[in-house]
Order: sequence, then structure tokens, then C-alpha cells
Amino acid sequence: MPLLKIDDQTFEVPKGARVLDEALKAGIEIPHYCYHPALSVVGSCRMCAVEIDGIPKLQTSCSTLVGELPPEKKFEGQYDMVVHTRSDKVVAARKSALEFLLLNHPLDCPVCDQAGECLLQDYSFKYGHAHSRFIEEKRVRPGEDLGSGVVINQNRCIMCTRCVRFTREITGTHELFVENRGNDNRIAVFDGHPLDNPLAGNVADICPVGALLLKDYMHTTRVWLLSHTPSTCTECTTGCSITVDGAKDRIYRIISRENAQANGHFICDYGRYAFHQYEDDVLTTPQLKDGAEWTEISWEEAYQQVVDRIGEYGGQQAVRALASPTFPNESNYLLGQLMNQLTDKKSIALLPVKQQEDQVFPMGFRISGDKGGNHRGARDVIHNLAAGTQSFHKGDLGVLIVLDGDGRGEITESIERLFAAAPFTVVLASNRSDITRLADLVLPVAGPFEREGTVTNDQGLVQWLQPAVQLKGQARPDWQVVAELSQALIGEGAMYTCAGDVTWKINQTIEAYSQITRFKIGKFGQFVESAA
Amino acid sequence: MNDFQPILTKHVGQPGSATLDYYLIHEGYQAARQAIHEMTSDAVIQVVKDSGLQGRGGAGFPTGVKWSFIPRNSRKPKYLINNADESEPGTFKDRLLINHNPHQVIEGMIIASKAIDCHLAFIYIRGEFVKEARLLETALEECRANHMLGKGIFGSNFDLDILVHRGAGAYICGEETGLIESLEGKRGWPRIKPPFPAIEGYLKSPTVVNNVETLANLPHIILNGADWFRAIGASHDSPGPKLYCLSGHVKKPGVYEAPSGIELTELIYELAGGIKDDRRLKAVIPGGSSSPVLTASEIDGLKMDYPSVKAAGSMLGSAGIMVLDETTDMVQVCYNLARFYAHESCGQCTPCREGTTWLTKILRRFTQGQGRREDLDLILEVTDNIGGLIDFSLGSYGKTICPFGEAVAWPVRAFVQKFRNEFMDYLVEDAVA
Ligand SMILES: Cc1cc2nc3c(=O)[nH]c(=O)nc-3n(C[C@H](O)[C@H](O)[C@H](O)COP(=O)(O)O)c2cc1C
Ligand code: SF4
Repeated sequence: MPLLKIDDQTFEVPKGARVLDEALKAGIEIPHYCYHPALSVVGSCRMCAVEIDGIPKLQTSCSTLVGELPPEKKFEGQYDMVVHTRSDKVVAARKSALEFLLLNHPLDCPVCDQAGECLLQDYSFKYGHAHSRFIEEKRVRPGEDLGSGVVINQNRCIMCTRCVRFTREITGTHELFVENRGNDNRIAVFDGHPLDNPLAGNVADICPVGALLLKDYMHTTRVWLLSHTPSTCTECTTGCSITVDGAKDRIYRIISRENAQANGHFICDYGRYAFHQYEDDVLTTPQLKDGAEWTEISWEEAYQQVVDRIGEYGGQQAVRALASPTFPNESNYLLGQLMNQLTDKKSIALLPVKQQEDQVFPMGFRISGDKGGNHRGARDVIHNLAAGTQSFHKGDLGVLIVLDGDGRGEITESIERLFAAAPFTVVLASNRSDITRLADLVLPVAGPFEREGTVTNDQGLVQWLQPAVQLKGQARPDWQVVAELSQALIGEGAMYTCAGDVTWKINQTIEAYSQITRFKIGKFGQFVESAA
Repeated sequence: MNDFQPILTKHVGQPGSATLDYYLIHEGYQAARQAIHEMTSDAVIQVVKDSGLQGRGGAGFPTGVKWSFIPRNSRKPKYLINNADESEPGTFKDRLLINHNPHQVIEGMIIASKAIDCHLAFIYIRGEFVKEARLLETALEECRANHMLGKGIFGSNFDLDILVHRGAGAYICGEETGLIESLEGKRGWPRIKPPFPAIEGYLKSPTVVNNVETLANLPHIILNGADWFRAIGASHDSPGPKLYCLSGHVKKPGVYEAPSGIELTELIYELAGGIKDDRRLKAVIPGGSSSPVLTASEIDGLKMDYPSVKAAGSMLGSAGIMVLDETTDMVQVCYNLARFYAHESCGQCTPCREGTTWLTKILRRFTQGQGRREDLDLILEVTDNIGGLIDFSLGSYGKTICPFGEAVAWPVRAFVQKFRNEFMDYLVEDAVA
């Protein structure tokens, strides 16, 4: 293996290793704009130039691969490549590249959404000139709406072409291109062909400066006021890693969180904007249907209602439940355990979700057509899961307990029949949905970005859901409500004090999850044991 | 020089010189036949290496050596591209060769194709050369009709076709990797090297890009041998016949064929008839607009071959010699030049995209009498930041993807350094004082 020396550190690297990647991995900062690990290498911004022994010209570290030298040619008798990232020449080259990039830049950081997470700002501060030597008139160009909720501020663009390469290489949709030549270069779309693909929002994420912006987020906050919560998207079974940027009780945006085991570098626009779906019709108190009216009741009253109704309608053996394909493993697991104790039949089935076609993009990014983000997990953690709800109609059908599908639950004919036949229906939900409308008792639980626990994507990767915002009103964590129900009905459940307790219980009782712990899941997830 | 007989331009001006019939009567395609039937690829490469032929496109890279970089055992197709983009200001030699003797160029391409085992070659010709493109098409058609192109050329089992591709008028598409991108149907943005075209060029296959004039030399080398070629001109290291394009303030501008290493003064004062209106010479741009300008005193005894011009601090480049007499306003020339480069920069890399326009803006300010004293050093620094420090003995420290950065930095820098006094005359303070 070639021996690479960067500044005063030495690394053994595979043949063909990229100098920039190796440096970044080792925590050596080499500033760069055009390089993006998911995109082809163009070497055009010139920021990552480094000095390499034996080569008179500075080299872009993004395009320089480490080879192996014959023993007699090795540097200092041992190195296959010796790289300097802080030499005078390198420092001067960075300075000048930054000077060039700022010539026409409006320096409007105070009103720019990127401020605080802008590579132009950061690198200028670290590596740039404090004063401009440019006294000519700046190039001023109007901004444009590129489509799909993305706008461009042409004056801030540094022509790194990440966005152009994204639409060519990742989505294969080719909407963006570089128009004109030289200093007139600009990112553009063809007339009548706006940016139009379900991954479009990523271009704003990968834009290293404040040129490409999401209309949805623009001018809503300042990035330093936000908390950044690493979590998981449950909008489909791809289960992308995300960062939820919010403050107190409001989410401002969701961006992709790089995870080679899940989504790679990107997320889709459904997931990106999904949080808006949960902003309205939020359930904040337990509610009991009284004729056509809903009455707010306390949690104690609510649990008592469930106990009473079960007694009234056929007892525990008659209780049936629907697990949720979108709720975490923890609440699904607890509901499964409860049902297995209440009845001796297959008394719990999965709420069906709307199915669509998978969308697969050229570089492999897949938006799953299965919108039940935790479909696999719910199946994995529930013992005695019934294949459907037909059998629920045999004999007495008593109280029905339902975990909601976060708006993605599908009211099929059989579901409609089931709700109509059940004398009393309890739904645990965060927002009013088609399902809650059919309920007799609604219990307010955490919404998708307030939940905690594990979800399992369709590849068997178990990831952690981290609450990003506070619960609204009297809503309680979903796992907790199921645990409290269990406590009320069978006197079990009080031992769980947090979602992690339930995760541990799953680890102890579900064979495939015997390696899954909060610790091992970490930030990037842990695969369940495959059956094979 | 006196006993030198034109080789490449021998037939220029002869009636019918562009036709196949004319060419065949004058030894046409004998060299190609010989290369195809009697020589191995290695033999062709060897004789061209031995001849010392250097590429005439600008960089002067040894042609035989370039060919030998093509991986022999690659299973990918190999491509030859004839660079007929001729867009360097001051250069108009390739056009003459195509106009008057397209078959000589095509024959050169057949020989080069044999050398690198290419079976599909291209002529990338600048869009404005409409007539030349047509001439080439006609000549290629003549070849196809006579089994000199197509399947089994000259009755051998060597297949070769040549296609003409017209550019759309961008200087940067003359740079070989910009050209290849353009030929692939993309925007003419040069590629980072490595990989070099010899390894991954057109359609990621091994590719050689050669200039028109380079290729035109090949039939003569095959027919007359490497030693004959080596003996032409003053320099053993940089031999051969060479086309020099004289323009600017000379009495008889035009293309002159002369042995490599001919003295610049002989070209200007004898072949081109001297300075227009017998004024005094101020400066000469010796190798197209990208080469640093030389002052009148610097050209004394200067031999026009690649190493000699390099030693004088400039480059032979495309041998586009622009002669500037004493009436020339060097600030205007410099501004004009910078403007050209700002217009032609592909805009891909930061220093070139931003720097060329910055230079142009500063220089425009000068021409408008708004220059500041500190701008002179600023210009020098900006050129350094685009094209790197210029020290020919150390090589360049280019900061851009392609040599365009140097192509603008070096000449602008030379103008400011060598004619600083003229820039001073434009300073705003001095105008007021
Ligand atoms: C900006 C730029 C423009 C160029 N334009 C031309 C051109 O018009 N014609 C040409 O033959 N070579 C041109 N070249 C040189 C080519 O890149 C290449 O070196 C040449 O075609 C190789 O041919 P040769 O080896 O026969 O000289 C240009 C280079 C640069 C950097
Ligand atoms: S140096 Fe200039 S012309 Fe060459 S690739 Fe860079 S921007 Fe384009």
C-alpha cells in the first residue's frame, strides 16, 4: 500500500486514493468548493490546490490520486507522495482564488440565508484577504426561480457547477446547465423546462454558498438560531438519514445527513418538505366522540374509557388492533405485546398504506413506493401478526385499538368494514387524519418529528428517531401511551421509563434484533440479523 | 535560406492544386501507400521520432513521442484528431495548407493513423472556415471514391475513415481537451489532466490531437527520411520546414515557409519586405497572441525555432508573428488582447474566469485615462494569480485547468513589464499634473 505524507502526518492508503479524501478523513482541512464526493471531479474552483513534492505546479487535491512508486523513486526513501497543504505557495494560491471569487460577490451576508453555514464566508475568514483590491463595477444579475421551489441568486454563485452535475449524474434529468461563456457564465434552465424532479431540493443543500436557495426556508430564520437534530425520515421505506433544523416547537427545514448505509448524500423532496404536513390539525388533548361532537377529556378519563369499553364490548378476547407502518418499532412492539396478552388469537394486523411505484435514479438513489417508512420494523417486532383483518370479523369484534398511519394509512374496503363493525375505536395519532375521523376516542401522541425510538428500513437498517421539537399540548410519546394502556389493561408497562427501555426489551425478545442497541445504532444505524 | 525550396507550400497557387488528380501527379499518397503497405506502426513512429518533428500547434511537443504514449495493447479504439481550429490570433497557416493542398493534410492523417492504429479520424475545423470545410469534404470524397479511405485502403486490410467536424467558433475549442469535449457534443470545457488524451481522450479512448501543419509534414518525412528532415533549418533539435504568419506593420503580410531557425529579422525585413512605411520597429509578438511580446532590441539575431524563442523569454507557439511599429499604442494592444482572452475564457476555473475580466476592466480604465499607479503592480499580481509565476527555467506554476491561463497571463505581464513607461503615460495623476 502506498505511503502518503500530508504535512506532518503519514498514512497508508489504497492505490488510487484521492488526496483530498484522505486529508479530510484525517481531519486536515483542505478548502474546496467544486469537489463533492457524490459527483464527478472537475477541479475547477482551484481552492483545493496543494503542493506535491516533485511536481512544480500546484495540483488540485480533488483530482490527484496516490500511486505507488518504485522503491528507488520514493520520496525520502519511503513516501509515494508528499503533500503540503500549508506551504507559502498553497496559502497564496488559496488567497488569490478567494480574492477572485469575491470580486463580483455582493457581500450581502447580513441578508443571506447561507450566512453561518457558507463556505465562502468560512474560507474567506480563514484564508482570505481582509480587503478588496477590486475597484471596478461589480457584475450584477437578477435572481431567478429555477422551479421545484429552488431560486438562484446569480450574484452569489461561484460557478462550482455542483448543481449542474447533480442534475446530470444523480437525477439524470439534466435541467441545469451553464449558459454563456467566461465571466458571463451562469447557471440556467432551458426555457419552459424548469428544475423538475423529486430530488431537486438537494441542489440547495450542496450549493456551497448562498446562490441556490429553497423558497420554503428563505428568510425564515438564521441558521445559528436553529438546533440540528440528527434523525431519520419515515416518509418511505428508504429511511434517509436527515438533520431536522428547528427551534423549540417549530421545524424550519430538513436537510440530508450523509449516511453511506442508507441514503448516501441526498434526500427526496417529499421527505424534505414532509414536516409541513404535520403542522396543521395537531391533536393536543385526548378527545372522545359524543355523537357528532368531540369532547376533550383527561388522560385518566381516556384510559378509563378504554377499560370500560372493553368490559362493555366482549372483554379482552374481543379486542383487535392495527399496528402502524409509520410509527417506530417501540410503540408497535408494545402494542403487539399487549394484544398477545389480551387475546389468544392473531388479533393484531398492520394498517395498510398507499403503495406507489419505486422511483430509482441513475446513480442509484431510490424513493421507495412503500410509504410506510417502518413497514419492515412493524412486521419484525410484532409476534403473531395477522396477515389481514378478515379474521377479525369472526366471532365477537370488540374494541379496536389503532396506531395511525400519519396520513398515509389507506382506508381500504376491509378497513372501512372493520371500523364500521367495531363498536368502539381508539386511535393514537398526532394529527387529525382520515383514520382519526373514524375513531370514537383519539389519543394525542408524538408526531413524526417528535417521536423517539427505532425504525427499520426495507434493507433492514435500524436507525434512531430523535425528537426534534417539543410535544404539543398534552400529547405524549407514542410508546408511553401504549405502555400506559398496557398498565391500565394488564398491569404491565410501568417499567418503561423511556423509549430506549423498550428498545432494550426488543433486543431481549426479538431474535433478529438481538444485536440492536441504542449504542450500536449510533448516528448511522445497525443492520438487523438477516434470516439467512 | 537562399537555397531553401518550399516543401509544404510548394503547390500553393498552382491551378487545381486542391484536387486529387493534381496531387497524385505530384507524388501524392506515395508516402501513405508506403506507410500502409511497407511499414509497421513502430517504424512510422520511429522515423517521425528520429526526424525531430515537433508539433506545430503551439507547444512544440515531439510528435513521435506523443504517438508513442498511445497504449499499444488497449482494446479500445484509438482516435486521431486533426486540430484545424486555428483560432490563435495572428495565425493563418493551417488555413492556407487546407485551401491549397487538402490532400497533403489528409495524407498526413493517414500516416498518423497508421502509426497509432486509428481507424476513425476527425478533422475539427473552426466554424468560420466554411470554404475550407467544404474543400476537405470534397477531398475526402475523392479519397473514398478511390479506395484511399474506407475499407481496406490502398488495397490493404487497413480501414480508415476521416470525418469533418465544424466547431462553433470558440478559441478554447482549439485546446485539445476542450476540442475533444466539443467533438463529443459537449460544451468546450477543457478537462483536467491526467488522464491525458493519449490514455483517455475522445469517448474515453486513446486519442492523439495533432495540428494541421504537423500532419502536413508527415508525407515528406516518410518519403525523404528522418535525416533529410533533421538537416532542414538551423537547429538540429528543432528542425524542419516551418510556416510563419507575418501580420501587423509589415509591407508584405502573409504566410512564409522557411527553414526552422530562420532569423526573425530576416523574416520581417527580407521575406515580409520590412516595416510598413519604413517606420521603426517597436516590438514583435513572435508566436501568436499567447506569446510574450519581445522588444525590438530583444529580437536581434533571434532564431525562430522552439528552443531559441523560449530562451529569449517568449515562445514560438503557432508562429503567428505580429509586428508592431513605433506608432503602436502598447496599452491599447494590451487591452485589446486582454479583452480577447476575457471573451474567450471558457469560464470553468476561478482564476481565469474572474482574472481575465478583472484585467480587462483595469486596462479599460487605463485606456480611459483612469489608471492608477498601483494598478501596474496589481496587474502583475493578477497575472501571476491566473498564470503562475513566470520563470521559464522552473517551468510554470499554472493555476488553471488548461494553459489558457498562462496564455493570457504571460503576454499581459510582458506588456506591462516591458512597456511600463507607456502605461505610466496613461496614469490619472500624471494627466492632471
Ligand atoms: C487556448 C488554446 C488554444 C489552442 N488552439 C489551438 C489551435 O487553434 N490549433 C492547434 O493546432 N492547437 C491549438 N492549441 C494547442 C493544442 O492544445 C494542442 O497542443 C495541439 O493541437 C497539438 O498538436 P501538435 O502536437 O501537432 O502541436 C491550443 C492550445 C490552447 C491552450
Ligand atoms: S484556464 Fe480558462 S479557458 Fe482553460 S479551463 Fe480554465 S477557465 Fe477554461
